Amino acid sequence: MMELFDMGKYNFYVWGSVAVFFIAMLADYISVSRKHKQIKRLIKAKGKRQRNQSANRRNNRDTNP
Amino acid sequence: MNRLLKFYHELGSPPSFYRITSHWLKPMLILAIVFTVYGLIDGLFFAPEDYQQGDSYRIIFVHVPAAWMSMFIYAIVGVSGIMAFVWRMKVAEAVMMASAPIGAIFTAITLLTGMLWGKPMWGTYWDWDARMTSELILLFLYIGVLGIYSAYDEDPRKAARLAALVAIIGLINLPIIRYSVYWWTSIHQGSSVSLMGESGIKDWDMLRPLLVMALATKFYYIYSMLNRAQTHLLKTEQNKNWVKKALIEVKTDVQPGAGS
Amino acid sequence: MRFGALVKRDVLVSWRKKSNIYQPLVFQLLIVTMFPLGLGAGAQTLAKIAPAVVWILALLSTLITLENIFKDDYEDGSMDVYVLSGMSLPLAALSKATAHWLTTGIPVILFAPVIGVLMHLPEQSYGVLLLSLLLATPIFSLLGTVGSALIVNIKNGGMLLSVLIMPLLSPVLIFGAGAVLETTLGNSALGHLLLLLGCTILTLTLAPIAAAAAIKVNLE
Repeated sequence: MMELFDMGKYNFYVWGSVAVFFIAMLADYISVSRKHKQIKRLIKAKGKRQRNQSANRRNNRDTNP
Repeated sequence: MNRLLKFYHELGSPPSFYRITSHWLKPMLILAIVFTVYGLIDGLFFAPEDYQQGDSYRIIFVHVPAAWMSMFIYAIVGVSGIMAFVWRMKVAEAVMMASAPIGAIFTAITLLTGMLWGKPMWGTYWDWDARMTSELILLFLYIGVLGIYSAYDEDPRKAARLAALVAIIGLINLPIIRYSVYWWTSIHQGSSVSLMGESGIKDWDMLRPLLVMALATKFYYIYSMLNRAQTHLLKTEQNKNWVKKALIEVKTDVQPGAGS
Repeated sequence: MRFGALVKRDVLVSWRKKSNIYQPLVFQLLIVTMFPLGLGAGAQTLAKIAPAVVWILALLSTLITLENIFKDDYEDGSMDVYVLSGMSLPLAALSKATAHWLTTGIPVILFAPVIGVLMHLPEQSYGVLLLSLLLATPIFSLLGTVGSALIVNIKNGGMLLSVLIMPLLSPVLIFGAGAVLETTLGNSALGHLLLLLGCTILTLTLAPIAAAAAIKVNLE
């Protein structure tokens, strides 16, 4: 099994290249999904805030007079 | 034909683009992972050894797909740049700005893996050979598109239009740059060891993992691009009704399921 | 008529400021001093890299002046006037490039032999050096108007400007410096010069359109 992984004197170069590929893809994946979640959370929080505000306003209108 | 046209127009509007592509994200990611796993296992372990380059040729299974993607994505950036500039399509802006980062990443991968291949083949990590040099200049083109978009932060739509202009200028110049660089190396140096050309991959057992990896990078590109494009649209359209609706609908979809 | 008036105005403005004209030359002189200091003053060593150094200095010294081609016009509102007056924008961009070439390009061309002498450039190369710069400096100015129009609204856009136009300038550098290099080796530079001429004509036709498009986006 182990000799499958052995690239002789090219070990560093072959596995280095594969590592570069995976690290780059993984970094891209993490940054993509983090940004996507971030913006969704932001918009949802904003929507909630607006709903609360309008609800408050309605409550104030009901109690004040 | 009519159906295709309708589909095209649907994709042109941000709400339906968002709705349609939401279903594509997961399949694309899964396909990318499956193809990568299969392609790399096949390429690294089972493809026969190259009689000239030994095991070191196995670098092509990541290097060449990345190189193909780096150029393919720039073409997409340029074409969607034209669409964004001429027709002011919001989706084209999103696709352009979503493609540029992943294209730059593929370009960087190409350069780094090329260097790792150069060391055993040429005896040096960097050689000013035509492909490496034009790939490096391609990276500058990507950085230019990304740079002007991020520098102009007051108005994202204006920024996207300026970035589109930069992309179009780059697209026109790319053939000239490539030609001049190839011409320059042909004069100043003898032809260097070519990573792909000379050894010539003819063996199907070598070609198969290469093609599988090429598909894998395409699928990953589609995933990454669509995801970024959605983020871009949500961000630029966050005050529009469809965004609120889309995000709240997700919630109502979940609630009955959770209740029952 | 308007084209001429605009060129004349810009040349006069630069001429009054003076710094626009001598800044690139001082820059070249400063940098060229560093080569012998860093490399050793051997005439052979210097002559070998002379074509590239003379060329790169001409390019870099022009690069530092590009940022301001449209900046003043944008800030004091002259740019809006170009648009409102119904003048064709590509023509306006072309006149800006012409004025920039007259005030920066020509001094750089005339100064290049001085740098050549300081770098021990072989005698047979001066003709081609002047000719190649004559073909290339208009490209610098024209691409400069494009870059400057793109970054006009961005603070500290100088670095970005370099990133934007460096890839576009790489063929020019290959053909231009290549032409001078060929003459130092005793070869004909005709092929290089013709390709450079092709670049000049292409830039002359396309760059004003691109610059006009960038102005339009910025003024929307």
